[in-house]
Amino acid sequence: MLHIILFVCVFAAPVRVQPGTHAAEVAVIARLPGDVPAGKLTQNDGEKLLRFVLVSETGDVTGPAMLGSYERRGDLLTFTPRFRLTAGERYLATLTVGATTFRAEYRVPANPPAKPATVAAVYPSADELPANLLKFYLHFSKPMREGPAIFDRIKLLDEKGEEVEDPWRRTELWNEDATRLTVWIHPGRIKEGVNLRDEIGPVLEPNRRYVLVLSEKLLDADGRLLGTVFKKTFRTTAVVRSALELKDWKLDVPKANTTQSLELRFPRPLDRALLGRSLTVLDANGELVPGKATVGEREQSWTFQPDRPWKVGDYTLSAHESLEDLAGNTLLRPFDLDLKLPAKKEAPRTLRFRVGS
Amino acid sequence: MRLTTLTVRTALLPLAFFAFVSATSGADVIKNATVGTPKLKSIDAVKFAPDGVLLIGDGPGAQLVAVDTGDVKPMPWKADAKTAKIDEKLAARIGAQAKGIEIRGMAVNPASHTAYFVVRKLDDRKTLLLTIDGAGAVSEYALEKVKHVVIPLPKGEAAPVSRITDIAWMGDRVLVGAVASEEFASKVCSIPAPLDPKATTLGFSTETYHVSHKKWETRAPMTSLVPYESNGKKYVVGAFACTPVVRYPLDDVKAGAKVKGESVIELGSGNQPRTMIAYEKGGKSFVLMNTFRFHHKSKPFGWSPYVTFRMESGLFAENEKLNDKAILRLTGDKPATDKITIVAEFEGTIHLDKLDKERALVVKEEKEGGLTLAAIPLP
Repeated sequence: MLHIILFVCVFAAPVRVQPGTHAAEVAVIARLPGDVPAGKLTQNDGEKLLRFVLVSETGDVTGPAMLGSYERRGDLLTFTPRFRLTAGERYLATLTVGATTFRAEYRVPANPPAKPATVAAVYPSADELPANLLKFYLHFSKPMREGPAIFDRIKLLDEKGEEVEDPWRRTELWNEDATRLTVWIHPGRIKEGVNLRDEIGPVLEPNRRYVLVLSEKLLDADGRLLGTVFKKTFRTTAVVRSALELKDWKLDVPKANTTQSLELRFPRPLDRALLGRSLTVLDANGELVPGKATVGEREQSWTFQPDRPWKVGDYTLSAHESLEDLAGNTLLRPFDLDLKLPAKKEAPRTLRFRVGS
Repeated sequence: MRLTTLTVRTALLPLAFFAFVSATSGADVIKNATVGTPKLKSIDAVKFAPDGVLLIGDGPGAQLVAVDTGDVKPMPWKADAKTAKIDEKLAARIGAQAKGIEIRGMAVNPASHTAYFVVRKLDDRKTLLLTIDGAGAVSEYALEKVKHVVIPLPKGEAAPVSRITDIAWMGDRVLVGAVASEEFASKVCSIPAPLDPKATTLGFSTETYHVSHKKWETRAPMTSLVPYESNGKKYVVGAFACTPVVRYPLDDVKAGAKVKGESVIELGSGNQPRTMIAYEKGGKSFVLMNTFRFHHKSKPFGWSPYVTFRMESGLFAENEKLNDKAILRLTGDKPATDKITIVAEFEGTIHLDKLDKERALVVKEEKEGGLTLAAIPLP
């Protein structure tokens, strides 16, 4: 009997907002006398009867109705928003029956408190970087809020603590879950002979100290502040405008019948992301050797531990042509290729080594 | 496929013209389509091919998706069509405040004149398409149960692309500009039309380069693309992230080629090109380009960092003044040519497309704040 009374009381309200399994997923249900046909209604027809509107930041409720689906069953008209509501926002449902309107307000709870995102890592990790450095990889502990405003919250400070003017190429390049942002120093201020560099100068001068600063105002995907300023201090070295040379790489070869790591050291740091996927080990038959690769400190070394013991025999370490150092130089060409110099023969991209007993 | 090519030769520039290419039906643009829900990881860029076929660039998904929208009934916009606070209106339709969304792109369907907006909802990182028709109605274009084809972007030797920067319908192919997040790659993918997932040749990608001072050659990502034809030869005109406007002979965009662009215009440093549209007016052909001026604070061209340039397209036919001799818009701080002008009416333009023969549709920021959607006569 009590259930029946409650049911009648609830449905006595001509319009109500009913949360689903999540507070941001609702159904707006209105009791609708009259001659509206049963079944689905178009957005236009539905809106004439029942509007579900976001309350603006100034309290205005005259904005456009939310998109969604309308369906009438019996004397109930149900509106289901097409999109999840926004945490912390207010919404107003308005039912119009003739000259009479009925209203129901709904507030979505704000997101519960949670730990703010942190800067998990910044690459390159070295504290000495070439003055023609191309990019930083910023890794965060959780997905971040995308949008071009992020470039205003990442700054470079010079030795005087003053901001370097417009250092970034403002093209957002996130990984799929928005936990890594690649921030490019504007290539027009790195390339030789480009107006931008000629007129304004490079972003980084050699032999100076700089600080990369990530503002505490960076937002995570839920809109929470990073909360703490992150700084990376580094010194610049001279520009590096030469192709990578495989012959400069040092290889420590493991012994046969062990799973010791193959170790490779580079004379200059290489790009962290590319290094992680640009080197492969092949056996004498050209088959890929399965194993685990690890990028070492300052991205100046790479180790490879095979899943199975090494066999006596010849192996090849193969480098993909896309592998770059911190200034965009590859094995095939320097970042800025001087066309007035004689063309070089195609550089080798493989190192052969023999595992002995 | 039957192609109709409309060209207008100008009195002043007899060898230069833009080619506007259309096909007879959506079937000529896509082939072997299926009906369903394309799996998109992102919508980086949108453009329209003829007959209501929407081209969607999905960099993280490494694919081009072409959707036959069926939206071909023309609905003209009013002469003075203008909607203030368009960001608030689009956002409210999906239950968010204006600050909770980002308008990532806009393309006008030339068949219906409906504007399609790429909107990212910032809280759940979902990207969706909202439309505004000539009557001002805001709707969603849901990518569900749609007739479409999915074309994987051709894989080159280098790393995969991360983001599509622009798409251009060239009549016999689609060009897709792309950048990578990990390497300084600069790809242009060429996909033959009709877009057919069952075609044996799905296309190829090639890298674009730029040469400065006849000496320095670097890889160079393209941020915007527009087709161009001169003296019987097809080109793609593009812009780099740091302002030189370049042209590439389309014949050079072939598998395995190293495509070198020639700088034809230098707009002045500090501008990041966003969109280019080609049009004709008064017997002349032009390209309109909006840019984000990242040196706005130190060297403003107006109150807004979003600047729109009009360029006479005859400049792209230049064969002598190229690269280090490219035409400069400015000498010092003064205009060096009257063939490249800043269009004051378009100041603040963030998104731009051609609405019809006479007008552009823009999303522009207002000096007093907020975004406005407006139809503005082409200059």
